[in-house]
Amino acid sequence: MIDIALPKGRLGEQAYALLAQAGYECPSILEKNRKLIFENLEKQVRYFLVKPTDVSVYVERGAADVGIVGKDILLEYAPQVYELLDLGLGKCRICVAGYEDFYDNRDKVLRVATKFPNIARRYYQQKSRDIEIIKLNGSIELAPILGLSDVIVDIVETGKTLQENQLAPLETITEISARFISNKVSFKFKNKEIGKLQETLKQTLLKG
Amino acid sequence: MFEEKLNALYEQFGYQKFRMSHFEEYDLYAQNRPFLGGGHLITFSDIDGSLKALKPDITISIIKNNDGKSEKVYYNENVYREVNGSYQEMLQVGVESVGNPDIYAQAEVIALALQSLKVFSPEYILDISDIGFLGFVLEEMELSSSVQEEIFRCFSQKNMPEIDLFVKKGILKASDREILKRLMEIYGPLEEGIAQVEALPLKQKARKELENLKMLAKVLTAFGTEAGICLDFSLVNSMDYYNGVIFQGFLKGVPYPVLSGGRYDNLPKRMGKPATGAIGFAITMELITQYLEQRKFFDADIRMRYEDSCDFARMTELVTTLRAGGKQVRCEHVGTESSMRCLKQIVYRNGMRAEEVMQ
Repeated sequence: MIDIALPKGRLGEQAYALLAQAGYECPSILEKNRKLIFENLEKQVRYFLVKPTDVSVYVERGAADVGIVGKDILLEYAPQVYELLDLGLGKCRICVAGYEDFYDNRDKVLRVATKFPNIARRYYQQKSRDIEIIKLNGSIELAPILGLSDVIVDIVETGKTLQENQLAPLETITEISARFISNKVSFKFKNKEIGKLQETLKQTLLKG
Repeated sequence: MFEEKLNALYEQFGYQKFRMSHFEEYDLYAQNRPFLGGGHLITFSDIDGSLKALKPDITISIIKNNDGKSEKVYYNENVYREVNGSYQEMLQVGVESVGNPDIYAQAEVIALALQSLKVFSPEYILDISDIGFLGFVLEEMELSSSVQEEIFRCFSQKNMPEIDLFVKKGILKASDREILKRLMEIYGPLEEGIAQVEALPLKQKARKELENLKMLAKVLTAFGTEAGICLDFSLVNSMDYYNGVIFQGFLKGVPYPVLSGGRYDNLPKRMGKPATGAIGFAITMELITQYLEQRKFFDADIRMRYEDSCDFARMTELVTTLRAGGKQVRCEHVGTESSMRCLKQIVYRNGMRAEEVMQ
């Protein structure tokens, strides 16, 4: 039996579709209800639906053997897991964004609002830029508009939310996509099962 | 129980018990922060004003005390470390072989590591890697040290997609990428793994280091341990300290490595003992308690409650018989309130017999 942690929401749905295509289907997951665990004994898989930021926690601590999670979460929390495949799903970028005509006055400490304090800190450290991090949990775009911060570091998919708020992406920090991760100890004790899942997923991706 | 079995095992191989005080000079640890894996120490100033720290590690003290002679020791000591933002006291059991560990001495320590895992559970795996080998492979690909470091990190994550980025950027040759990919994919019994590595187009230094690993594998087979050992280059440890074979032990049901060790000649070198080599390992006993030991559901088997009219002498005889039969029995007046959870609750009646209680 392989325990798979999936992020709730759109990425999770795409990830499940890929897994089902690879032969690891579990139809009960598509039913509209409030269940969090779904099992298919015949295929020897069990799925958990968890908050996207928690997928890496479940996998790192071995509550799930494998999981699917955005690279943004891996960069932010740096969990001790194997990062086996780039699934190419949920592609987007982590950007610095702000007013289009934003001028970075290096005399001042730059105020950065973000959900990703570690990624932001590392990025500006590389640039030797002093910053102050303002950790927010949502509606990050509001921060520069209300003068709470100078810029934001956030995920940009189409740029539409930014545009509607008169903001623009200023710098790209890194490209993001979903990864197939595995608990390090599960990988050893369930090497055959996880290896097979990894290989099948890879083949499914190649077929497109 | 486990500790006694482990101690007996190490003594069978002629290892001596190492004992030490609870603290050392703070400087000793401050100079070797990365070896300890970072984290805060519990420090205090001694009567004479010098700064001391509660020991976060035993290995450093063993190396400090080594006088250049060959030394084979084991220890069971509490260490104090920062874990997830708070200090924890943890029992560590470990083995160190200091002096000039040749192939035999290395194989002996690895065999002891495997035997130690067997003490805990029949479902165990010992993974082995050679950090020196991987270092030479990357060095002979003529990569800058920062790129080497990044690739080491990718290995620890079995992260091929990220290594591919180096090819895209023109930093890594496609032929070298192929070698790295093959190395990363290896996961299996040691000798099979070595055969797979041998088939790769490696250069001189890497090949020479591989010969060492091969000789080691041969001795391990003689120890009868080869079957439980897997080659896995995703084990990575700081090259500032480790320089050769490194290994980690896993038990089914424990999501973290319970045992970890390796050859660490660079620690004595950094401590001013360049002629001394060392190999050893440590077991985090906390993980065993946390994940493997049976969960307890009750504080005691029986809670025997008595009233004022109770014949204490006869009740004592009864509970003594029960205890002799292996039961845990707590006696209490009926009026006592207690948050204790017992499998069985009984009110004592004069003349009660053990069979009645056990029904």
